[in-house]
Amino acid sequence: MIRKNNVLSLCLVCIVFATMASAETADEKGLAIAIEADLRDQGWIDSKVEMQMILRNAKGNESKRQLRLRSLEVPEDGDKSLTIFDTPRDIKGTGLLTFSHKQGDDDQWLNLPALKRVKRIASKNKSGPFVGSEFAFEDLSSQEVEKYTYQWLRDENYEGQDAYVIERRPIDRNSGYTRQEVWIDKDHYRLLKVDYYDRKQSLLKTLKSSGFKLYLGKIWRPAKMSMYNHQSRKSTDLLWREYRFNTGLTEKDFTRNSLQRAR
Amino acid sequence: MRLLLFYALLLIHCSTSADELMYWSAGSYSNQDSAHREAARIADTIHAETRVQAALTKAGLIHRVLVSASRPNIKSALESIDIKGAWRVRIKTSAQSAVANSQLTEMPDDEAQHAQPGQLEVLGYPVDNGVSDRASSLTATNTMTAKSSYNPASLNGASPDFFFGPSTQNKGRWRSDISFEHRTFQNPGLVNTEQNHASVSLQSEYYRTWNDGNDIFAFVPFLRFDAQDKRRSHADIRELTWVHVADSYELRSGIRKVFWGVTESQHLVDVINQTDTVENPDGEEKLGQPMVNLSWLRNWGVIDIYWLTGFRERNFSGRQGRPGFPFQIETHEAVYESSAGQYRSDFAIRWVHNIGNLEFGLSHFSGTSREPTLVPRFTLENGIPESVVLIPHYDIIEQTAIDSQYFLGDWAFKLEAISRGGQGSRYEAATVGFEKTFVGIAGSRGDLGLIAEYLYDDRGASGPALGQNDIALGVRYAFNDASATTALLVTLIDRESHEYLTTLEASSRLGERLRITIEASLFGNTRSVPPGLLGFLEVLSDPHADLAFLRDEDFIKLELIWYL
Repeated sequence: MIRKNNVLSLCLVCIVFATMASAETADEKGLAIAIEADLRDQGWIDSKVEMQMILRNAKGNESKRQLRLRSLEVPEDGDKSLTIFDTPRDIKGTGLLTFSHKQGDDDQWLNLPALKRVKRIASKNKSGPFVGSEFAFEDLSSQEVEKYTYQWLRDENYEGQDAYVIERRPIDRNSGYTRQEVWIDKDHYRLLKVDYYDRKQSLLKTLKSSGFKLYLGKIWRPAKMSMYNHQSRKSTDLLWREYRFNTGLTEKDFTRNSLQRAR
Repeated sequence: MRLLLFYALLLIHCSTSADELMYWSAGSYSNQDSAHREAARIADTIHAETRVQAALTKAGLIHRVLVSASRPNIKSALESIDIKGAWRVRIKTSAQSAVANSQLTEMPDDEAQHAQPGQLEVLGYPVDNGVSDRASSLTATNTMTAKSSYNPASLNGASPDFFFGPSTQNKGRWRSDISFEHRTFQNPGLVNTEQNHASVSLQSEYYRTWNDGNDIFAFVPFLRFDAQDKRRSHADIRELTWVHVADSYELRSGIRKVFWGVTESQHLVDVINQTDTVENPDGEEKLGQPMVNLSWLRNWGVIDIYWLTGFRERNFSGRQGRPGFPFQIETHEAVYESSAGQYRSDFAIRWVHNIGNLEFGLSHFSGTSREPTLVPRFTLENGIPESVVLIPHYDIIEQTAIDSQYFLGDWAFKLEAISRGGQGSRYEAATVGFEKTFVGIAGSRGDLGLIAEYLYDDRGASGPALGQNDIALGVRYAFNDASATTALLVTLIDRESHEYLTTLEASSRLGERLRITIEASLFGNTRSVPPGLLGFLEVLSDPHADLAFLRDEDFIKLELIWYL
């Protein structure tokens, strides 16, 4: 009888432990990982970087773009960024100013220097391709925690690194995706890989980031980001170089006036 | 006593553990003497502590010139003596105090070797193009080592020039493009019967910044040669400008182009620059305007004040030019209301601001109208008009205007409205409309835009040929492909005369340095009028024949722009 009780209580203890372990639901765990990744990417203040974009079609034909990006960290809201094109030559000097927001649509202005005109972009086009590449505007805008809901799926070894695999679902109904699966490494919370699923729930694209480097002793940035479109078999590589942080940029460098004079 | 010793040790420990020294690397040399000479030169010129540190890299032994970062602003001091690509280096010295000159440091290999005495940790090191493949193989190591951000290839250079970034911001540079153009007209015109017109144009740009990008100089000359039309062969300085940027204002002086407005079918509010009519009949091309423009940045928007020094006359195509106009416009007899003529100074002010999704500009222009009134002058014979020429009259106008856009999801609502006095009695005109965008329509990559605008002018029939009671309907399609192919089709319908004008514009990139553009214009439902004076009188008397003289001017234009 006593033994039976012991077994029973052992079982009870087991159940209690099991429920305690699952006290953190998969949703909470997913969110916690996303928050930690976001925290680890804070404190870069501002950055300047050069980027080469290589577009490849299904036949392997390449076209290239050269651009410069300046970004400003906005702690209470999404970041501000200014992108200037150097090539192809017909869009040389074209600038794109983006104010991303944690909630609601981002604000975007396009400067067309040949026409001396600044055009505001109706920002619902976040799912549209960025300059004909496989990256959508939303793939390149600042990744705020508030833009998704999360769920932890599993832990997995990804190319020799222990990683969390979480699912995130965009809150914005204008997103081109129903969900994304994200591989985040456990050591540094860097986004190693993202699978994008389109509105029909089928795998659309895969993003792989590599060549991570540490800046300011705390911020990791990849040297290469490769996006592959499984449906069109087109791909786009982003090669990042000359990263500089904390360069003294201010809000004044991210205005319509500064957009107009950037070339 | 023991306690004292403990504290003493602790103090020593503290002081040594803080010995993580920051340096700027100002260059690398394979020759040790060269490195020492450079270090001495830098030490003398910017009065900073320098040292030479040897490092063993895969590329062999190199001698790096290091400048102590113990003093602030070292980087700018280095830049002032033309060392631009300096990058930060952290040297952990552990218990050893400052490493003696030329002490050999071994660069770590693939294995992570942390806290090695004298180890170099490279921060923010520039990565070159070729690094991507190698870098991808490094992701697995996960640890920050000097190796992972270390590019031996870049260190082979024996001069600090090697570290000059690709940033050419403060060096002036020229860029040019040549455009080849061919226009084919469907019919012989009323005056000029030539149906094929070829032309070539050259535009260059010189652009230079200095003072950390806060001073900008730009020079943009433009030149066109037209095989048929002497008047269309012309040169212009589109820009010759100096911009100074300060914290709360920008001062822009020289010859410049300014655009105001939001609508697609016409630009009522845009009055600063003269239209380059011979360049393109659609009025989108402008001549450079001399000015001083103070742009004042406030929390509540931007105030732009313009002092427009001097006036540019509108040019018109000659007898051989098309779209042709069957009457001589006597530009050399132009009449100015101002006694100063072309030398009158005009003024304008504009306030632009955006509140959330609402953007607006309020402006006032006071000066000689860029748009002339064409006054007919008849030649009489026996008291009967026999021929007619047109004289441009440039009146002084006061124009107050608003241009505004409101964004609601895929919708953009647009408004431009003006009130102008000075050309006859004061009148009002407006363009209102919207553009609705369908992103990725029907599962494609492309964006489809639908445009609808209403054009109003309260002068009615006595107003301009187009825009007094017209509707513009348009379709825009952006393919969002690698060639950035776009197309825009707009039809402008005169609600009273039922005449219409359809224009098509499409362009695409061919390779890296070529762009092709196709433009077409089609005039429809126009009355047939006899050429010469009789036709002129008929058009004057018939408010439903605004476009009658253009009925034979349908054309298609092919343009190839080659970016040198």
